[in-house]
Amino acid sequence: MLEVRKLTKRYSAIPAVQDVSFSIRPGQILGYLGPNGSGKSTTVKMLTGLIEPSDGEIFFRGENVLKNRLWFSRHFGYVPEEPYLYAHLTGREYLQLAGRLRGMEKSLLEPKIEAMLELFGLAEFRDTQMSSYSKGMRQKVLLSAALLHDPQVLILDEPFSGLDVTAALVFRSLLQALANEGKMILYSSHVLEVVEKVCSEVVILHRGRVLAYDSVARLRDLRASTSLEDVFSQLVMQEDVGAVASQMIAVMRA
Amino acid sequence: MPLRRGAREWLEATHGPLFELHRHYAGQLFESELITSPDDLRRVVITCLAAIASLGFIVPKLYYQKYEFLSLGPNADLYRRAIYADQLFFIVMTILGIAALVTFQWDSLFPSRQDYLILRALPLKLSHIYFAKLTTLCALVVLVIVLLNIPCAVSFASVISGAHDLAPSWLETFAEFAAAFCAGVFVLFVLALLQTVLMNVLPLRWYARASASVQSLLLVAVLCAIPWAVDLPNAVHWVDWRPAWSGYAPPLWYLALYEKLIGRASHGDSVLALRGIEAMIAAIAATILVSVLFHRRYAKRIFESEVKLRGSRLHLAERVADLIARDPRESAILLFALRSLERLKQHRMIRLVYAGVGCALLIESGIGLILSGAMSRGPIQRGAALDAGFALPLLLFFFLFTGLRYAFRIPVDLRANWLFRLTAQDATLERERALRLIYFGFAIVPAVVTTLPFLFLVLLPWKAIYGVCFAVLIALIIIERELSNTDTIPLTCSYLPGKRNILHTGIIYWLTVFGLTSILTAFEAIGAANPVRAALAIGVLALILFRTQKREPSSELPELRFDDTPEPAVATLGLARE
Repeated sequence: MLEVRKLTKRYSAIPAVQDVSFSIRPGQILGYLGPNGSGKSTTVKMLTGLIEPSDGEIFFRGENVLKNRLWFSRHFGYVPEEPYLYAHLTGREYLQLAGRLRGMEKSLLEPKIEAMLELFGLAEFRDTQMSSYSKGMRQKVLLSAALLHDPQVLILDEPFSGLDVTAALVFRSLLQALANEGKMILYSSHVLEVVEKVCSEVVILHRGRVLAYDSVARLRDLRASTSLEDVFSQLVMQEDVGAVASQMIAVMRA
Repeated sequence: MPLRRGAREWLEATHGPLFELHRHYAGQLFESELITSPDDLRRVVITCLAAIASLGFIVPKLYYQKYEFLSLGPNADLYRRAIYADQLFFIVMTILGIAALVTFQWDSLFPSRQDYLILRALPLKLSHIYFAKLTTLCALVVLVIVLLNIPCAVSFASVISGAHDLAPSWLETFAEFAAAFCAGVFVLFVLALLQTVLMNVLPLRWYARASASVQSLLLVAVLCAIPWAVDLPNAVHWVDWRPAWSGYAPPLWYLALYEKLIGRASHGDSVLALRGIEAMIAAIAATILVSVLFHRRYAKRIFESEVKLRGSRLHLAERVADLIARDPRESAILLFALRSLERLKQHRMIRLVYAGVGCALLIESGIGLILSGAMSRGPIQRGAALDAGFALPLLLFFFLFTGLRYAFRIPVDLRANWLFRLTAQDATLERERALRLIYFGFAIVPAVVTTLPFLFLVLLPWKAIYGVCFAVLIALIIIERELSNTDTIPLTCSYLPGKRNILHTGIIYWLTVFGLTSILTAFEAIGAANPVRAALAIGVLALILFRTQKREPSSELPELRFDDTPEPAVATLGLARE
């Protein structure tokens, strides 16, 4: 199990994430929701070790991750929010780099790379530098890189960003299949429909704090809502959406 | 003051798409993290232009005593030839300076794919996007030519006015400026034309490689020509010489133009001067014509191009890495570094500059050694010539090594570093082994291969072998020291050299290299007295290398670093800022 306890990140004493706690069991997909700037990506970066938490603890299989980062890094796959990758490499070379850095031997790695590129429809572009890839193609490469080493935990920050409909559907099925395999998946996203369909539980974050943490069905019942979007609107959105739109039109016409 | 405020307000206002496009491109030309952060742009632009303009004011200091001395003598012809030699020097330096500038901007002469992707969505014509880029760069280069040559022409004309002067000062100034200006403009447009033709004639899959090769050749040629050009003021004995090939030597065309303008040209010189003017106009016209004809095709090609790599090249690098790397992580770091060095323009340019300077020194020293007559009695035995011979492999290694070291410190893409941070923080040993292989393959091997035949030519065979062994051992010791002093994966650290004072990065480091080479070659020459001493010197170095490689065994290897350390407030004391 992956367990996060009172995770906090402060920048110059200003909290970006405060006392966030949740756990992910094997086979579970946990949705991590929140508006822009709510602290989703900060949490994800603390989990992956890209930034150090100010307070709190993370446990994986009972081991304190913060004391054994390298050990934990071998067990998770990560897809960042933005498709940042070395664009001068080809798709195949990037996957090769990711796999080799994880210590995978060539004999194991190369067939996997070829198969992944084929499955994601990138085989034709395997020797094309990623500088000319579309956002969706880059996202597919990142997803492939995250899955190459068969990780126990998947940390996905907006993984569907830029994916075409077919790839998104394939990937949604893949997430379910991975969960059935016993993988632990943290799924951070703005796309509420997808979260509602694939996640068993969700954490809703606002201004760095957890507003709600429960199963999707229970949240809907509690809020007497028909969809997760309604729940999210009730909990998080404090602005009059129509009024903001009208003001934008006014600015445009000025 | 109101004028200044008015000018500022005019500059800050919007002035139509073409003006704004030129403004955008002008800003882009100076955007390089190699030299500055974006906030310092104005300071850098002003500093660069002021530095170029101030070069001219050194002229009186350099030439005053020479011409004062010559004017005291009765020999007016010697005075004239000295002026011609110096004028040829100004012309050649302008040509080399502009060639270097255009070569540095080689990939920015025309709009990039990114330019088209961003600007095509705006209400701009394709020709606007294309010509705005070209004219902005040309305007900058012309500004550099003017700033470089007006102070030089004014200063030089005032220095040479005296008993034997050739023309009134105003005419002298005009002729000097016009000759150097035309030479600079000619080179600018010839190189622009060359790149335009390469771009439009070659198939896209060949273009990138061919263009990079031409750029490399140009840069090395410019750097190799600098030591020769510096010697031009001494060319008083042959400056009037016009061999048959002078009709194909652009510097002589523009020297002839200078002579023509001051009214001292012979018939032959007048023909050469005319050729210079015609060549300049032809280069400008051809560049414009080719650009008008092909700019749409260029946009189409670059907009639709994919950077597809050839399989054979890809797999060769992989095969080599698989053959020499001991484990997957080492081969990952090795391949990443090799591919980045090969494909990234900025990194390739840095390596080229250092390798070019090394080659220029090598060629200059080698030719100097042969021409000095040191070998008139067979192989060199002792003295300064022996030191110079021994210095060659070391110097070349230093420049190749420094170029690699500098390139490795410039991150490819900081935002993409998360991959290394997550997977390679403990890859200390793998990083060391990969870097050792790169330094060996790209600094030691080329230095030895290039200089070994020459050393065998000028030294006794055992001394040549000793010289190479000595240089290789010194190189290995330096590499080991470098490996133990760094804890970053090449091309991933967030340290940007642009943050550092250029004096520190450049001049002081290079002076240290020259100082160190002199000391080492003096030590090497002592060992070269006889084979026993040579063996002893090699033995001592091998021992030092062994001790350098044998590090303290530590229970836990340090993690690699991916963030830059704070800039020291006082560099020499290494005091970190609060």
